[in-house]
Amino acid sequence: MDIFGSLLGGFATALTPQNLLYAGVGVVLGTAIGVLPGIGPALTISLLLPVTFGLDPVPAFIMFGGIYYGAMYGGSTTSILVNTPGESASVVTAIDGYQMAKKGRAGAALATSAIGSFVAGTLATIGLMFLAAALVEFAVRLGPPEYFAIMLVALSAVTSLSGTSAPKALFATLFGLALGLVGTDNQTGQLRLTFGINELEDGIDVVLGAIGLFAVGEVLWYAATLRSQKAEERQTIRGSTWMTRVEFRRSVPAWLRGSGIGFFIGALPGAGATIASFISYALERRFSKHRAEFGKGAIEGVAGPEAANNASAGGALVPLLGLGIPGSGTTAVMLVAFQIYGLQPGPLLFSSRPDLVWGLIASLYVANVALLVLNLPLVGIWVRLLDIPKPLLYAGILVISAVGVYSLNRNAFDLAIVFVLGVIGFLMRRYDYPLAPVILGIVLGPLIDNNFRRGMIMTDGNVFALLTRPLTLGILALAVAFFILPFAIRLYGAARGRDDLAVLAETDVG
Amino acid sequence: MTARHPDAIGAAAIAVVAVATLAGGLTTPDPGFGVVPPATFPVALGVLMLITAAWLAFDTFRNTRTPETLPLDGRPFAATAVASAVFLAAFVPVGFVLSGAAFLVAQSRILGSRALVRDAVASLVFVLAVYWLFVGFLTVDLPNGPLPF
Repeated sequence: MDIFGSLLGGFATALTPQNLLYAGVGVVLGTAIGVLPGIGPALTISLLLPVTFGLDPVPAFIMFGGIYYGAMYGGSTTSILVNTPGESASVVTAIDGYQMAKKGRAGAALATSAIGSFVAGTLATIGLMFLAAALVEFAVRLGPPEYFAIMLVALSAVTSLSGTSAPKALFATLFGLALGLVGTDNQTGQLRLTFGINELEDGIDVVLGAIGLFAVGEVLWYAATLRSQKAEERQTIRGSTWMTRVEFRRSVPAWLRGSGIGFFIGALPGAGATIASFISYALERRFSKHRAEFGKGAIEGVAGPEAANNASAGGALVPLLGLGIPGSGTTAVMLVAFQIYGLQPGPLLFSSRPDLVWGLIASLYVANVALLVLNLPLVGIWVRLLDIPKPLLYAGILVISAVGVYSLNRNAFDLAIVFVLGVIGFLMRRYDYPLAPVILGIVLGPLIDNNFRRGMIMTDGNVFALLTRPLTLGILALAVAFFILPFAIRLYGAARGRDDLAVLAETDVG
Repeated sequence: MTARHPDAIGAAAIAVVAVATLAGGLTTPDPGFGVVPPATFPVALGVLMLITAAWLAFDTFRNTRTPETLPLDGRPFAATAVASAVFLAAFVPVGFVLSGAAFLVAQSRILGSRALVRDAVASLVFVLAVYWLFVGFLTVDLPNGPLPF
């Protein structure tokens, strides 16, 4: 595969005035919605999915690229100025970002975040280009047993890295898988888990899952915790939105380290932006010459995690584009976006629709530039979004959710499903059950089932014969390792008295 | 462990979901072709859920400290749940504009807003803007209800 020739073709697609406009609109929409508290990238993409329905696939995915990167960046603004992370990956940013803002250095914190996101996003897109292309060469040699094993790795990782309770995370995964199986079995045409409800024959779309669990659940959560909501203490931007020379010099290595960490953790199935940002913060604190400043406004504590969470967005696209397997809730929703257009990401898409794949990759570069150009000058507008009265904001989220759900299939029953899932999402959140594995499970449920059954056809029903394929065995061993890893880290941390390792092992990727 | 330990109730709820999944799996007809019948995966999930319920119950009995949860504001929560259910049920028969505007006003009030006129104007402007965006610009149909739009 001629990567540079293909990329040039991608830029020829992405740089038309119309597609540039879509990339810019995507960045603005993604950032605007990502800024709002409680709305992460998966929900942002779910809510904005209907906006792309009237578009052809290429501009639609170019817009998605902008939405994805914009949503990843959006959470940092509120972390720094309001101490309210827009989504879980920006939690760490708030620690030092808000302290910097309190000291009158909000401009520098926002600048290091924006430039770090640009640097990381660009490096991650370069990494995505090479790694996804290499993965495609490898993926054409994989059969159903290997795909089955890779999906187990994704589920194992997301289960073990989510939440603080292993059985709760495991249930969330199993529940998602069961939801994914609802409907008509595409190998035999039999109905499964529909319990006699005809409307369930077509299954439960992952977009319904994301909107129900995250959006409706969030509105119910806000209503249920009205009294516990803290008043916002918003910091203002005083002076320039730029860094001093010293701050710039301290930021550069943190951006580069964060980019590397974020990309590789993002590419691992099941891990993601939250884990990447926590690891980046821990590393920056450990190796910094200004360790005493951490927690009090160290610029590396903003630069590293912000770079890491944006780089992880590029990393997360590697398994999606290279193998067609989503490794996170957000990429699971993106997979559905591909399927809505009748496309299946993976090795074949690179050869059948190179204009789309390379156009998307090129548009990620464009989206990064658009983020840098738009976000610092527009930061005042992003913050003003928080002036929308909360009651109207949350009611508005539900109205937009209803529109998004209805426009998927023009089916009133979907609205009922979303409400039920919203109540379930609220209960899961209240009792500390992670939500990300449910979303991933809904998408992977039918894929795992199909690949397992096709693998069993290859071995005449002998499950142990699967283990005689070295690659399958190796990947299955990886799945087991992923499941055991957090327990091992926790035990090691406890034995060595390392609280940071214990915290890392209990980080919720949701 | 207290009698109302939420994780004990959670374990019981997981067991109920497990039994439903098992029942759904076991009643899936076998068409008689294919190496693995369609019931296998749902049944396996049901069994794994039962094991998970037992695991959580075991953890709960072993760990007697009740987890801390935020106190719930029962009334706004219940009112929001009812208003959301009514809105979603009315979305198609009543139409997007009417149901959306009414829900926005009602929900804003439930969540503490007392600026009725502002909320009514903002709600109407919001739903009309969303309607125009989807129907006029993105050519996505939304239900009209009794209104011509």
